[in-house]
Amino acid sequence: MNSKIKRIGASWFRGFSDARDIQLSDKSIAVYGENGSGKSSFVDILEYLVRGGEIEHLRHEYSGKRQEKGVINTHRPREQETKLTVEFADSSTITADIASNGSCTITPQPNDLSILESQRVILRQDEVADFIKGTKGEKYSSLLPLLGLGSLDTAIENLRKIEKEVKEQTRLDFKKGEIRQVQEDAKNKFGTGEAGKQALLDRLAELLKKYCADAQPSDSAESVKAIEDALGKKVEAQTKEQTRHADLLSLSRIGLADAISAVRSAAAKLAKSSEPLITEKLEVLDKAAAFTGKIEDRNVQCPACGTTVDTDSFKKHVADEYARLKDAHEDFKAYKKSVDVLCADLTQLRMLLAKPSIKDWKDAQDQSSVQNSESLDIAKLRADCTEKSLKEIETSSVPLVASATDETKNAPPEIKELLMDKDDLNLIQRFIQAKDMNAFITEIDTLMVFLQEIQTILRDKIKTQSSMSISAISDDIARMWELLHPEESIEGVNLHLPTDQDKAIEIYLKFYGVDQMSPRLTLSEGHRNSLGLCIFLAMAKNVGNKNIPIILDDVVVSFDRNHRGRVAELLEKELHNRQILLFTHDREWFIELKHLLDAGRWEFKALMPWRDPTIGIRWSDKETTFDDARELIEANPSAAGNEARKIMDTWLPVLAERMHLKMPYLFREKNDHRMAHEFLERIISDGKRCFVKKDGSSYKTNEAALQTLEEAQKQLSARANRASHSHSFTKDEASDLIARCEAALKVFTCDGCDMLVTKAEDASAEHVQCRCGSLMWKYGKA
Amino acid sequence: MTPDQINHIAAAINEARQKTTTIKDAVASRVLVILNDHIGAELKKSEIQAAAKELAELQSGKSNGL
Repeated sequence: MNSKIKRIGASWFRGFSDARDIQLSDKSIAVYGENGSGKSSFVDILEYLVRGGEIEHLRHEYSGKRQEKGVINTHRPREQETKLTVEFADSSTITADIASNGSCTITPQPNDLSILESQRVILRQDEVADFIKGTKGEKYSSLLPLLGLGSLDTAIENLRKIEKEVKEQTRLDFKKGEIRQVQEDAKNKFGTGEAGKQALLDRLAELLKKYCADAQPSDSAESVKAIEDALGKKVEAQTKEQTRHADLLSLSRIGLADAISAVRSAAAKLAKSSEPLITEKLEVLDKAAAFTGKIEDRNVQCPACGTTVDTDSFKKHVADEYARLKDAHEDFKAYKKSVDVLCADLTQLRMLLAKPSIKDWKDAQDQSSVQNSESLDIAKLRADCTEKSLKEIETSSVPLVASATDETKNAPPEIKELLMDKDDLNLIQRFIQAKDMNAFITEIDTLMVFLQEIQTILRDKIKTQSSMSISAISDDIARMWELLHPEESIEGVNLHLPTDQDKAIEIYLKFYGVDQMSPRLTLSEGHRNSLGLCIFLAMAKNVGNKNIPIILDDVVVSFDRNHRGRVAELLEKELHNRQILLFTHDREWFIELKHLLDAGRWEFKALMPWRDPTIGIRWSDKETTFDDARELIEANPSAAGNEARKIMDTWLPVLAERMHLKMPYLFREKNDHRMAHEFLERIISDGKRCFVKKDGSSYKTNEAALQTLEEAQKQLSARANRASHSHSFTKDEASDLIARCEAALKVFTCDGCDMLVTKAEDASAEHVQCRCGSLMWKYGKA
Repeated sequence: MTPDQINHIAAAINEARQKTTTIKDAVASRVLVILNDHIGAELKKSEIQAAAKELAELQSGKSNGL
């Protein structure tokens, strides 16, 4: 598939009003526009389509649910529509129609553009710096999608969440706890191992024989059911007196005193801590653990406790704190469980107190105790079990249990026996159910292991794949870095996957021969950003489809002039086969690019300055950027004149350098602060010998050009040199100056091939010329 | 979604299946479908809940025992 972009267009989207587009005809393009002129709106179109209706920098609370407040032009007339179009070289087209509420219809589904997304071919200014500043984990997250492995990472995350949800839904830990409890109870009652199991079965057989001798159950579960039914019938057949005894016996067996004692004992273990504190500390430690991944200094202050420790000790310190708090958390869980048991006992007490069979006994008790036991707020107790509450229970509820115990001392033995049989049957039933539960748990454990296994395999896959890709990419990064920073003692730049961390990527380099674990240690901001650019371009070059375009949005902002100039060389040498869409607000760089990049493969366009949302984004029909100045004429002619001067101040040094113009030496930095009229003066002076134009088979001095330059030079000297900043222009004067400056720059472009005179150089003949050779600057004659 | 990504996931599921011999075929197939249906996209909470319930039921054979 040829994914080169042929056209990008939009209407009433971001900065766009009426439909505007970039026509690319397979070429790369450099677009200049001052801040706010709408450059990034073109990048936004691609990102919006790639992400299926979303732009990353608009992901904030003010942009609306579907980003409609940021995506749609604020002044879109009702009858107008917001539409986006991207056409590819293979004639496929992707369009988006965005409704007022932000909902969008993308046609067809953006399969082609999803390739762009998987490689993240859009690089914006802020992302260059963010990548280098990021932690190892953040670098990993940023680079993984570029390596085409982001979806595997997402699959791992999805599996992890499903695994966690399975555990919660099946109450796996709770059920395992239940089984442990049943096994413990069975062990206490019937003994351990096979003997214990046999004792349990013997007891079941005994109960079966005792209560339903005629039954012929096929298994233990059916035996339990048969006995349960028989016991139920026996209870129903009890006399009132027998029922009274049975209920009082049940009441007497509530272990309230033990439960209170257990709560106190568990609470004592937590005397020095409390749940909120533990939770809070665990949160702090979570942050501290994440922080350990970011720290690069040798010493650090622990954010959890404030102690200053070295990095390794800090990591151990965090791990120790975790272990300590986890123990405390276990204590807390034990405490909660003891409170739960107490609450369950109190609930049972209340239920038994409500039974009509024991009314006479209840009436004979201390009524305030009965009332307190019946009205106790158990939910409140569960949430906040204070010593005061425990004492109240001790004074009201515990005496009731004691009284019931006294009352049942002389209960008929058959009632006691019946209750004991019921208890045993209940335990046997729980034991049998636990067996089923155990089978269920085994299956769920298998599922968990399976889900974990897939995660491990995918993680290994990511590691192997990324390691291979990173090795190839590192070679390109090193070469690109060398192109941008020749003869600088920063070498061996490469990406590295630390073996001791799962989700981490770091950049290593040698700084004057010394190994550096991170570029943040020694590189300046500009160098870090150029490293970020190298990494991005190396990724784009190496990974996936080589036909897809690369989009660079104002990525050289922090580069100095030298390094910025080398970016063009890098693009020409390393990415000449790729379509590149480059946007910049840097006029000087734009002009340099015009000289440095192959005009056969590159187009250059300038955007008009922004005026208002109804006018929207506008193309200038000139590449010289003089429309920036023209836009100012109406409101501020002086500013327009000064803008024209600035444009000349930017253009002429670049031209002069390419034309090998010899300027007189000025004291120190004054060399870099020359004005346009100084260059013009020299060009005019040398031009009489050097600037020639083909006339038939010979070359003649380009008199017309020199005359045009002289006129511009006069205007600039008179009106727009540094000493005349206070000059007040009329509109006519400003228009005249702009026209003359523009005409002056035009003389350096060939009428025939439309190329600059600096397009090609013959060093041996000491001249530069346009592509067709009609226009020539013989710098050797200067 | 690219064939490469689907292949990686399918291969990982198969490998995990070899190691976890007691996993049921229906579970492995369902995991593949769930992951492929959401290549590159994080599952929503409701989707995670539905997937967890379905997988637990398929593996345990119990539809109401969760």
